Amino acid sequence: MNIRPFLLAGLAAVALLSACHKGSAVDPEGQGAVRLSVIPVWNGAPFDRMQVYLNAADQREQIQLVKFYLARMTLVAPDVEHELFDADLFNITNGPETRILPVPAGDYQQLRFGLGLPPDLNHTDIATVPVNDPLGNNSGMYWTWATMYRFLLFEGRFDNDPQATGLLPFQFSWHTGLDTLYRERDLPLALEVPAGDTVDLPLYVDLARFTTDGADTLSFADIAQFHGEVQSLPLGIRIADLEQGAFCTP
Amino acid sequence: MIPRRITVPLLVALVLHAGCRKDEPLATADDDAFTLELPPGAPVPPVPEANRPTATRVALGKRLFFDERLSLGRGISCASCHHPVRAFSDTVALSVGVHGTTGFRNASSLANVAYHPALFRDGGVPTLEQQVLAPVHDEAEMDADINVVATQLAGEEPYRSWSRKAYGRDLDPYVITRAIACYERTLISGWSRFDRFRYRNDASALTAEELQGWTVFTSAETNCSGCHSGFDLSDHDYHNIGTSLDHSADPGRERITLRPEDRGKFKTPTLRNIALTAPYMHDGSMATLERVIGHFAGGGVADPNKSPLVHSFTLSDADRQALIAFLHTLTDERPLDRLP
Ligand code: HEC
Ligand code: HEC
Repeated sequence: MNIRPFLLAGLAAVALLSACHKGSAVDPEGQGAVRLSVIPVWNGAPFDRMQVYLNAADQREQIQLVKFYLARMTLVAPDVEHELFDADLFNITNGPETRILPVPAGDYQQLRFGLGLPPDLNHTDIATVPVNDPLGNNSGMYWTWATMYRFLLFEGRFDNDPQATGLLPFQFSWHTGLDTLYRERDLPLALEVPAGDTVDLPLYVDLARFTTDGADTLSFADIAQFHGEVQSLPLGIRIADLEQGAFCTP
Repeated sequence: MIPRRITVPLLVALVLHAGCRKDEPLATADDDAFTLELPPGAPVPPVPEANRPTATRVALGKRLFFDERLSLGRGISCASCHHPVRAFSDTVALSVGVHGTTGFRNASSLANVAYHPALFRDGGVPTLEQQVLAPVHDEAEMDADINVVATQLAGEEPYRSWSRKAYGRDLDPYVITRAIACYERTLISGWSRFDRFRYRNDASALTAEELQGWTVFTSAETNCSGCHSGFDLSDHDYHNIGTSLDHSADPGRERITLRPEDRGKFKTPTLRNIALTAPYMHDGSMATLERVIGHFAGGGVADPNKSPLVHSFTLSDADRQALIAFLHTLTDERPLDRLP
């Protein structure tokens, strides 16, 4: 019997086990933490999923799902940068989602992150990932036909008549994904993290801006459904650009 | 100032943390080797290092392939659309899934799928392992959740013991996808009369008419072997053969590459067992081989992406019959699935 595979497997097991002791490699001295809150708003005001809003295209709009990946979340100081996580999944439909993340003490001036997954993560073989990992099967974010992940799910109902009342007759569903729709943002920040302290890091997502940036306004009448179809890629690109523009720091 | 990475230990920690994401098996249990019987002329199919076939892996994959519980007991297994007696293809243009609805493409034969560099007619899926998830989750096919499927089957024999023996862990999405891929890689076609003629020097294997058909097939006039080449009678590349100018229902390879020049291109199918795999083309729109040859002879529609290898030609009735006769020699003389 060849014992090499077992030896290798044993070594790999030891490596993996020690690797999963998170943070043990980081010197606790000089450590602080941030409380990252991803906060949904509508035109700057707190977002309420029960509310019917009037959007920039003069449509009544009710949002039922906002779920997305943020990747390579990185705090940048003049002489140093620190990646808070490589990828995490946020569902802000019902309100803000918060993560407490260790970070070296410092004076950070920029928040850099990707909306969606960068290609190296986007092409992960999902069956090799634990099911409850943000990239695992239970994320519900996988596009099997493309062997890639959906980046952002934005779903709800709308009505083309701004005056109407009552139930919204139509459904919209914008799902971005595909490497070309991955977007990176650099946002200004004034964040001092003292050692031994946890400071707030709010990241606002203005859902009104998913359909407009002031100059470019996209109506659900133009496109109610987008699921990565190449036939509507030009509109998909506008959707991805608008969505990334909706993120801001205070 | 150029930002520099904070500290080496931190970097190491990050890399190691990312390492936790991968859920590859830590050990492979003691299992019997699996030897694939390759026909003469057949290249050795590529196999991923992390999923080498063993007897139990292949047996487990076969059992899963035929198990309707992959659709959560709603009557659909992989074999419902990939019939073994049809070279693992379907008999209808568009297969019917658990909800009685159809997808938008014809179910491909799985003969020699081990040789495909990418799966699906648009090449959107890189490995057989990753492909398994697609039918399980597709609403028009099994519309299940592989995690739920795994949970339902994991405690049951022989799944429980086979899974542990094969992959050193309980049945889960990892095991399901790996094992089915192992089984699919055993479906090697290369035992036809054509193979006897071509790779086993059996001059009597084909009739004079069939030999004439082979001449027509490889002629510069028809160009068939320009794309249907090599052992699998496929270059496994993507071509637009001018079947239609309307690509709204299916953009083909462009769906994956997003490049307009790939619009209407589809992977060249194998012609092995072609007499068993009607209807033909990505949408199953051609019912017979006569119809297919009529299409190629007509040169196809004037699509800007159409391959220059597809252009009109004239065949005598005898040559047309000979070509069809030749295509019938590509049927395996033994089952593709050689497992007990
Ligand atoms: C409801 C019908 C249906 C079921 C069930 C089904 N398939 Fe398929 N299969 C198809 C269709 C249709 C295609 C072609 C899709 C395409 O090319 O986009 C296909 C393609 C494939 C391919 C790619 C072949 C190639 O040439 O690229 C593989 C491999 C495959 N199926 C394996 C499976 C496995 C494994 C299962 C069970 C887990 C399964 N199929 C279940 C209909 C089905
Ligand atoms: C330019 C490359 C090319 C040439 C030349 C070509 N084919 Fe094809 N063939 C293809 C592609 C690509 C398809 C699949 C098209 C689709 O899915 O719509 C195909 C499909 C077929 C099919 C249907 C296979 C199936 O499983 O659905 C048959 C049969 C066939 N070709 C036979 C021939 C014959 C006979 C010739 C010569 C007269 C020929 N082909 C020439 C690329 C080619």
